[in-house]
Amino acid sequence: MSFSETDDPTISQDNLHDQTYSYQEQPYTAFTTIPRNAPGTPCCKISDFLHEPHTSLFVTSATKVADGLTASAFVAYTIKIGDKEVRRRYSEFESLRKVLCRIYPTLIVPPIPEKHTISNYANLQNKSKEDAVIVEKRKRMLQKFLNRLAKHEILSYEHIFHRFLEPDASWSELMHCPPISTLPKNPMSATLTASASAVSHSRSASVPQSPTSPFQSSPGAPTNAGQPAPPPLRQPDPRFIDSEVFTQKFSNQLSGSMDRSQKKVVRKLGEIASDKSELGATLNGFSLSEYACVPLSNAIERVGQAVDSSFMATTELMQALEVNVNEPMQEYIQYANIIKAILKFRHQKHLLSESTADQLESKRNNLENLERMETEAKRIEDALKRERTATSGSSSTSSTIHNDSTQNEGETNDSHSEEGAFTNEPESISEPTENAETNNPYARSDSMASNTNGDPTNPYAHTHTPPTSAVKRRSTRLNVFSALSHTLHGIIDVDPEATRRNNIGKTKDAIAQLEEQLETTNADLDNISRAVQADLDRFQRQKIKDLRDILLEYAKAHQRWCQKNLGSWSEAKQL
Amino acid sequence: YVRGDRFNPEFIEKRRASLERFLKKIAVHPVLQRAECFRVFLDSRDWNSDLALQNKKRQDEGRLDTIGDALLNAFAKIKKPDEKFVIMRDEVDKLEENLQGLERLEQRILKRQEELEIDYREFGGAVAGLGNLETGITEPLHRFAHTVASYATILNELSTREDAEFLSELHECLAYCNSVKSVLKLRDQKQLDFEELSDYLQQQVAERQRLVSNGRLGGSASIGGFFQQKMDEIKGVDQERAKQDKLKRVEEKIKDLQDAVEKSSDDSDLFSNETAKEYEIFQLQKTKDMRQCLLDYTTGRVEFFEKGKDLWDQIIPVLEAIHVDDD
Repeated sequence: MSFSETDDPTISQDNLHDQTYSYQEQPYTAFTTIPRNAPGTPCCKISDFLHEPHTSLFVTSATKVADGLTASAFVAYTIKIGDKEVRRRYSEFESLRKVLCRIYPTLIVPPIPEKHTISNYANLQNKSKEDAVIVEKRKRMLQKFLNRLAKHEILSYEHIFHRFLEPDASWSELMHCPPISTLPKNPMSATLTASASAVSHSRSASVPQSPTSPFQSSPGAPTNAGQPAPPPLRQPDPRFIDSEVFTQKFSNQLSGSMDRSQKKVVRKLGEIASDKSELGATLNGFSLSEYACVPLSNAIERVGQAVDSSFMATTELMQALEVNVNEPMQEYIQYANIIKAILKFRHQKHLLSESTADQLESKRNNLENLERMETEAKRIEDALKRERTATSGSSSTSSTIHNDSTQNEGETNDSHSEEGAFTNEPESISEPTENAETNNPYARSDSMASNTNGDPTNPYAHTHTPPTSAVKRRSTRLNVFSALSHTLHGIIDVDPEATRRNNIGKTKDAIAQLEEQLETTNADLDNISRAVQADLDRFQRQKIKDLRDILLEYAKAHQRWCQKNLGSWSEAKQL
Repeated sequence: YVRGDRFNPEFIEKRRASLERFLKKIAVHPVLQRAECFRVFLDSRDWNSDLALQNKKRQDEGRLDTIGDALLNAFAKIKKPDEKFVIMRDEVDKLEENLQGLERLEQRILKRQEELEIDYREFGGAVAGLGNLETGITEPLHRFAHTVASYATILNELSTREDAEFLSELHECLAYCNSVKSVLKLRDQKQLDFEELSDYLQQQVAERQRLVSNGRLGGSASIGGFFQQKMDEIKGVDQERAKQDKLKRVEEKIKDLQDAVEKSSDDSDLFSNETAKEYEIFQLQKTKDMRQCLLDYTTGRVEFFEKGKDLWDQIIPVLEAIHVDDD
């Protein structure tokens, strides 16, 4: 199983997409948090240069520079692009990467070498030598980072990246100007696609904020162990579940025994190499002391020479493995973490969509309830009117019928519940006599209020109870509570009917808003999912290619080593 | 050897090879090959009882006193060391030093090689695991893992071989050096004996001279002697008589000593000659051994690298064939 699960675009996941176009037709875009040009639009000379075939960027040197302002020193890396040079320090690389991640939360931005790694300092014996080794390593990895950016279909067209490569562009200035300064703080709240133009921030108020933004810590950093796993989805997208599981396994495999054992191999080879150099020296000494017996002396000398060249070959092998196998593996371990973070981002967007859908659902239920109460009230009112015209003493009856209805309302824990009880009034308030009768339901509402359960199920079955029996039950209650509740609710609510209508209106508004939000979120989710999937596919191809190259280098390095040794030992054999 | 386990097949094989070399060396040696106990050893069916028989015979010839002498003279040094043997001694020491250095380093390398083998296997396993995850390239990755495992195996073979051959042979050479050293010591012993006897003889001769020349009982220069003389005078010992007795005794001793000195001189000379010859033999044997040892070492390595190269040659096209739909 790999990242590119299914290429079938017509798998619509539940209520996620409203697909207006199929996957293949969609050009490769990314989900960006601020408007960007479409990839491919010409933008500057650097961009042109990058997109010529066979260009590469080189990090040619690393020099210590004294910072005039703060009197501290830092290392400036010289980037050679074409025939121009630009100098940047590590923190600027780091910040470039962070910015790119914030603009393109769905893209797998290549990792940069870590800031402080314990393993680098583990074997510090000769500090200056170790420093030089670390700096060399950083140079290589930064160069790799830049070249990967330059080869990326989308990132290579990002103008900010171009400015980074410009000799005269001050990075700190760039940081404080748009577009970087307009980057939204939280990518979860941004809703934008590469080709769309409207940036909708207004929705953010009612968007439940995700607990942690996935990009606050640089995903290039080694671990995301501190971040809790996001809650599971109700209807997760199977492709991404697979991806999430796979990434986890991949990361474990790489950073586990593979990386560990290879590091040990390289270290051991180094130790053996130094032993061999000693052995060579001893043999040479031996050869000298056996000068009396010439053939023996020659034999020993030859063996000594073979051991010496073996030492050199082993050193070469060790270095080749370090640079061509261990470092790329390190890079892919970092990649695995980056992908985890991106999947998490998508996951959270999905969560957002689901929770929005939930809210919408509950609001709709509210509305249903309210509207049902309205119609009930209206129905009762009509019946009441008819009765009133028939008999004059039916007020108590009607109120009892009211009581029944109000009692049977299901209330949500919403703040609307209180008001909802009061809205059980007939629609028409034109008759002042109604108000007098409305005293009665307050009693119920009081008991109703204390009876709140979140159960939306509406036992409207009770509405069919014959009014006569209800009258007997209610009359006592009516007398006890009515006076109390009347004053109470009188203070709170003047016109429950109007309130109810108000609420219906508000709920309808909220629903409309939520609907729009859901639509946007789903559209975003759709875009994100597609963008992530596309980048995962691209990454998968890159990864296979790189894995192949890593293993090839491994095999070739060993082959060369065997070859060299074979040569020198065969020579020695002809004693 | 220190690790115990005498029944380990590898150890048994090592020992077998060592013992074979040992017997071969005896068989080649001009003197040893004719030793009776060697023949008995080769023929005998019950070595232990035959050995006892041999020992008894040797005891009759009374050579076991050499041990006592050796202990007595352990700290004495030769007065007139023979340059020839000093050189020999130095050479052997140097050889020993070199061999020990080689042995130490080789042991270290072998140990690291063994650890390396384990690491390679682990890496191979990890790659296989990765192959299981990456369904697109499972086959090539598994074959790669197999290559790495095979490589670890031939590494193991090399280590075993080097341990059995090179290290063993080095060790035997060192033991041989030890033998040479003890022979040299023994030769020194003989010379020491001779020198000491000579000294003793000289002493006695000087004593006789004294007796004859100054006519007084020995040791007149000392105060104690003077008193003794006075005491004897008092006692009325016949000085002249005593002197004659003493002289007679000294003469006897001198005669004995002269015989002994002559014998010791012969012994010493004989021993020295033998030793010189033995040293020649040792040199030849050593050269042969060392060359064989180095040849074995080299051959083992050449074979390892040939096999290794083959392994890697084969896996490279498999890896190159991994096709990615390139962008």
